[in-house]
Amino acid sequence: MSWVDGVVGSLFAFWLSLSALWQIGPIRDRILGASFIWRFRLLPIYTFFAPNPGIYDTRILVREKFEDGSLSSWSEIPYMIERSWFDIIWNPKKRIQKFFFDCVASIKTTYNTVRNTEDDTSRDIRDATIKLSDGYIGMLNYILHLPLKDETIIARQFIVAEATQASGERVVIPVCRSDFHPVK
Amino acid sequence: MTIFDTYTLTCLLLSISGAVKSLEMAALKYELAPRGIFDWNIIGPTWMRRSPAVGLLARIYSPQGMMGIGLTCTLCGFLSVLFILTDVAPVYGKILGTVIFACMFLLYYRQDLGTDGADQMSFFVSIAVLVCFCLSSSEFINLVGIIFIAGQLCISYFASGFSKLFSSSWRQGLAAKGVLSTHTYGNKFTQDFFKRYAGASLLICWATIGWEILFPFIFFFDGGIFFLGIFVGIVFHLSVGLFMGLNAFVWAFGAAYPSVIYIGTQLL
Repeated sequence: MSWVDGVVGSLFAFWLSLSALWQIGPIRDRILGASFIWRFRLLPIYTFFAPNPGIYDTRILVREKFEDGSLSSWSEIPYMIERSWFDIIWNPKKRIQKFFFDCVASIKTTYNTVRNTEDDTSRDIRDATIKLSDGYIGMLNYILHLPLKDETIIARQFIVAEATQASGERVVIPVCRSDFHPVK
Repeated sequence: MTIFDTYTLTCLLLSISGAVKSLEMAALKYELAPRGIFDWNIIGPTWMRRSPAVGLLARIYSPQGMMGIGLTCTLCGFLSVLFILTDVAPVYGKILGTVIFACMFLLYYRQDLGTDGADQMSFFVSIAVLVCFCLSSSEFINLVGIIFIAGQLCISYFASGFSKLFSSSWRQGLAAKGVLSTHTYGNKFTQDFFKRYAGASLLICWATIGWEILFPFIFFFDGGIFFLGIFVGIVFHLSVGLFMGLNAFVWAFGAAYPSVIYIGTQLL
């Protein structure tokens, strides 16, 4: 065995060991929380659908403000398409649904990080932090570039909610409501 | 099965994984176009968007670029089949593996949002293919790559099963029904199924937990039980693809199975 074999073998053994440790939440968050690992996604997270299974669909509601100051009623964006058995071969739309799922997760994570802020100044920072999260920006980009049905629309506002039917009844939980954002 | 066959079969499955992902992305023309939700100039990783190659990357990550990656992966898939069926010099397999790694690298770092575990698995498997097969002729390093790939698969199942064990939703049997009752991961069939057979959710939850935790131990058993474990794994991923629409997992996780089979049949 040459020294190159030893180095490469050790590196992969080390990487495999880190991959195993990275699955443990507290280690991920505290001990190994190096930003470059997150940035370059050098270690995997394999805890699929656990501990919290994805039992929620992401629902997006939008309303519009017109030049005269009037508001439209809330309407849901129908981005979800009925599933088909052919999805095992070809399923591009799952990436859109996963995108919105990740946006909600990003907004929630940011909110949980900054929520314990009570005074007004901190609350402003908290709200700004949420609006600068990847999830909020991604969602906003989508909302603002939906086609305009009316030339007099000047701004849009959105609500993100999660809906589940796990208990048999439909339950809807709001996640966040945006400010009005100019569309032009 | 030789080490070369193992890596070539891995390349074939990675090619299909890459082709499916990139062609599916290319099909989302409106979303990939400027100001769409997958517009790389908006959701691409910051470190990439600030790199000197930003102009080239923007082209690669356009709908046409994604189509190019998809066609490259498809071609690599056909070549992999050819290499499996005929005797070719190993150097061609190594060139093939390098091209596949380049495609996987580009796909993995296209965006942070909207990716999943299949992307992770494809990327880590492709790194092992590049470093331990394409860039090395050492039999020891070839073997290291195979062990790394099989190790990633075992960690993925064990970690997933173990974290489910600590989730009350999974232990109480609510998770399977809950997930498969959504519009995102379920369909009309699964929604009706759980309305009719509510108890099946508990069975599915515990079967998933049990199989995922026990998977790494298949190496301790003889041929029959070992191949039963492999068979259950394949059925599991096909079921997830069929019922949940997560088709990318079939190919991405499937790409790690040749390494598991190699270790189980050649080494133990």
